[in-house]
Amino acid sequence: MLKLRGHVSYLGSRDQVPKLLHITENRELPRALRDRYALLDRQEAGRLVSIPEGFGAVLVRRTGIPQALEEAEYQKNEVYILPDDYDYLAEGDIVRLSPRTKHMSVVFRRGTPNNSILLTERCNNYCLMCSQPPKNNNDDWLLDEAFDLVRMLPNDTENIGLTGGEPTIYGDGFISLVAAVKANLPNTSLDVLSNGRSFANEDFARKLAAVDHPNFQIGIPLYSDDPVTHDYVVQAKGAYDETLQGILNLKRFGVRVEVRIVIHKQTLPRLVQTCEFISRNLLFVDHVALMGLEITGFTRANLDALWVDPFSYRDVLSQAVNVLRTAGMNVSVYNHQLCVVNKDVEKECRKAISDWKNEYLPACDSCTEKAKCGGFFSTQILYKHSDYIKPFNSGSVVHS
Amino acid sequence: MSKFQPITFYSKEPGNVSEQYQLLPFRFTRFEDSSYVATNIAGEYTILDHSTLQAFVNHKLTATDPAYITLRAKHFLSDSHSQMGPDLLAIKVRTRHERLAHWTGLHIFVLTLRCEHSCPYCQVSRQSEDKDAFDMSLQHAERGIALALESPNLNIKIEFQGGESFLSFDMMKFIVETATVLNAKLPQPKNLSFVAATNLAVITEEMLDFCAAYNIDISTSLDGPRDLHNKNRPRPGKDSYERTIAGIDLVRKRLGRDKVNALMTTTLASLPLVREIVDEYLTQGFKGIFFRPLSPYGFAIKTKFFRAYNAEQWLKFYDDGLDYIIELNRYGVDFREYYAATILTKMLTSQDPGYVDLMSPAGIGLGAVIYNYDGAVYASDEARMLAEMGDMTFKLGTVEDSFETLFTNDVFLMALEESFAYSSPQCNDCAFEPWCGADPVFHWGQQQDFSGKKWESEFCHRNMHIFKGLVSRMETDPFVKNLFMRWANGC
Amino acid sequence: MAQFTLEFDAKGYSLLAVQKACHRYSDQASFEITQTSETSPIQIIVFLRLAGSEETLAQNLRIEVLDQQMREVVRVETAGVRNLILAHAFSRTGLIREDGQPPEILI
Repeated sequence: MLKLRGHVSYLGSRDQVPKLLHITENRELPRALRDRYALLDRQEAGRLVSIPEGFGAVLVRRTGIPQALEEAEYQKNEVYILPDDYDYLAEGDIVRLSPRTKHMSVVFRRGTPNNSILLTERCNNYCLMCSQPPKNNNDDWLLDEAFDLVRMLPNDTENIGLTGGEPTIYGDGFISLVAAVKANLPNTSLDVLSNGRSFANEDFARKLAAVDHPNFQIGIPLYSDDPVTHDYVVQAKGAYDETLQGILNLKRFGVRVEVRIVIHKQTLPRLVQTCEFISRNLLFVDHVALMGLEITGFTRANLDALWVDPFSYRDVLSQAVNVLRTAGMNVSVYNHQLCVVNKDVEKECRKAISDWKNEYLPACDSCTEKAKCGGFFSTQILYKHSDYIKPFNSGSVVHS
Repeated sequence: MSKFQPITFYSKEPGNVSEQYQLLPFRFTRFEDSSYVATNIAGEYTILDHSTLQAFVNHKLTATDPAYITLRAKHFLSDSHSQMGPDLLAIKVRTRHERLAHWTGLHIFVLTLRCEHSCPYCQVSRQSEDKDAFDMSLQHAERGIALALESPNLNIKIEFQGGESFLSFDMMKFIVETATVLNAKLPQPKNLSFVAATNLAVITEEMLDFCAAYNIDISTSLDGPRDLHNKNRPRPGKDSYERTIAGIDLVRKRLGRDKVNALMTTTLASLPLVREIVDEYLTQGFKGIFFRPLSPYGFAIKTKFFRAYNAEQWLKFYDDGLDYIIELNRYGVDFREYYAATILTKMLTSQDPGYVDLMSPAGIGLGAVIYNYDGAVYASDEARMLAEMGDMTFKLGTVEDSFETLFTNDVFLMALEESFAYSSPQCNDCAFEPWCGADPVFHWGQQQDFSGKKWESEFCHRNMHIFKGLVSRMETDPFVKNLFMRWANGC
Repeated sequence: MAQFTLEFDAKGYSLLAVQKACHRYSDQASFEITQTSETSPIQIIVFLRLAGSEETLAQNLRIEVLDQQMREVVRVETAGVRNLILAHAFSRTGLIREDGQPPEILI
């Protein structure tokens, strides 16, 4: 799992507010541009003999601190010392550096299609398995920064995601951000994750549709056909109706909607009925994703109430997929390893885990299907995964 | 963590008042023993036993009862936990009826009454030779084409019938060519398709070339294995079967594997042979079969073929055939029964299969319309047959009439209204009404009543038996449930 | 012709329910339904068309009357929401107008 944010050592002296900077390794970058960039210096121990002036920040590796340079040089040039965890940083990435808190966040990586912008940690749901546990602090600055970030992203960025918490908490601010993404990145597809409840307000749904982003999808979870179960899983009374109303409104105005279901002990008993419900009532949604548990955030706290081995529910998963597939809906299975699902859903299994948290077990090295398999969340490797992981041998696997 | 509430927090009312719920519109009909099939206003079904039904209606069903949870999820009730039922039901009802506004899509041209077969059950009173007297004229054809293209439906299917439609091949060519040209000139051209009903006995290479050029589908008759087929369908030479099979083969080679479909008619001789009939269809490479009962029209009445067997016998034939087909599927053979598939679409989806005989408002006129060889316009095939027996009730007019005149014919509108199942006595109480249809022509023919006394109606009896049979098979066998889901979605 | 009598307590059963139940079995029998006052029992004399079917028919009639009673309850309670659903379903389809009137026929 890549470390995307954390503590760094700071050798500057200025009391600065956090700023977003592009990463570059080009020491000869024209002076006029330098204040928008962080110079990444990969030189080894003691090799750093001078620091080019004018960069917004200079990032060096832990072992790269020479004794030869003066203290004053460091302070003048905003030098940060990065632990090895950030060796993956590359040209074109974007980081947020906070001198006051001595903190760095990698907010954009050029070399990957999975970039998401966190807009807030606030949320009006409180899902039992939330991978981003809500915090109630005012973090409006994240939205402000998002506008800045969007204007810094390269034109050829394939895809960007907006997540939270609940991104739509900003109301019109959220709509403006979507419009800003469209204006600044006309060739970039945009995915938003939301609980959909704000869109129970018809006007709000209409406003989003009016932005008319050319390549947009919103992913909205629905955990059951039963309102009590859904409200329980998201820990919010009335969430079911608002979410459904939100989906209806969005579809009425022509917005692409994906319905997501996370499979765990609470959603499994009615999984097939839920898919039947979707096929009868939400036939017009653009995509349905059935997802495996990520073992992070609240999931770990509620593990006993949530964990069920995917291998044990593989037949139910097959049935659920079959219901949706037969009804002619687009369906995908995320976060399930190929050896724990039945063959009949292999076509629907996707490699959907963001690269920075995607890993495989040592057992997978000999697996003939490894290239096709989506693998694990890093947290699944760390904390909990199926007991039935077994490498394929020429396309077949035998579970004893 | 104490921050999380248990599920009981979400299932209780504020103040712990006992669960109250409101009924949403639904109907129920007795099913097996003491159980009922219940359907909501959108036609989605659930099975309830008598005591559960009673508790439910009397507001005594508790929220923890599994039946309660199902009833809420399937929109049979509303409660404080979700009020989305009415909106979602409205969407489903709307989807199911959307096709109505498109109006008539199937336009049938009876090119000629001439035919060299002499099938005793024929619904058309066939004539042998006189071309002038029994063929459609150019003028009538032109008017028919104009009327067909005037229909608001974006998808227009022109079907050629007879007699034997290919005995009037010149007229068929004229209509196909003219319709294609005129359609292209429309401000919004239709998706125009053609199908020819034929016994394939007189088909030639030239005819096939034409069909290939204009993408004309072929619909033929295959009653079963050779002996049965030839017995049912006599012609000079006693070789109807041989010609049909040869014709099917030719059509497939020339037009494509799926460009020919076959229909069967069940006679008394067919009744013991359902497996053999299915096997014949399998052998001939068809993907399915449509079990049709015999209609009480035309020669069928004259030759007493109609009363040759009763509803019970046909239903046994149907059940045996359907069960056999299910077994074939269990062994991995992809073969379906199309009447069941049509009904299953109505049972398991909000789609409208557009099957004329199972529509309410009735499919007459709205689903299909007939332009007869003599220029008369009828609301359905059956309406035409009724006319040949002397009853003109369902004649809409002639091809010289305007589109509006034809479709605002008083008797026609009255028949639609009176036969509308949702408000017909008995039908309006029936759980199966959303899956069923109105057949005013049949009921008029049998009972002189557009709506009919349903307990005397073979249409009702047959359909109810089939509805219950389909539900029963699905409820007892998950394999069949999955199979039927695939049939319902046409895949 | 064979006949028998059934009685239904007016407190639990409506005349309409009884009538509808009988109507349903018109192919098997004809009926004479009487109720001397609103509170007195509803009496049916059943004239069988087929001899020997008395027991089955009586049973079926009792069940059917109960069913019709339930149907009435459902019908009364759901009339309002049913109209709402149908109005919503057919709005803006061209099949009815906003005010619930049938569409204009332009000839």
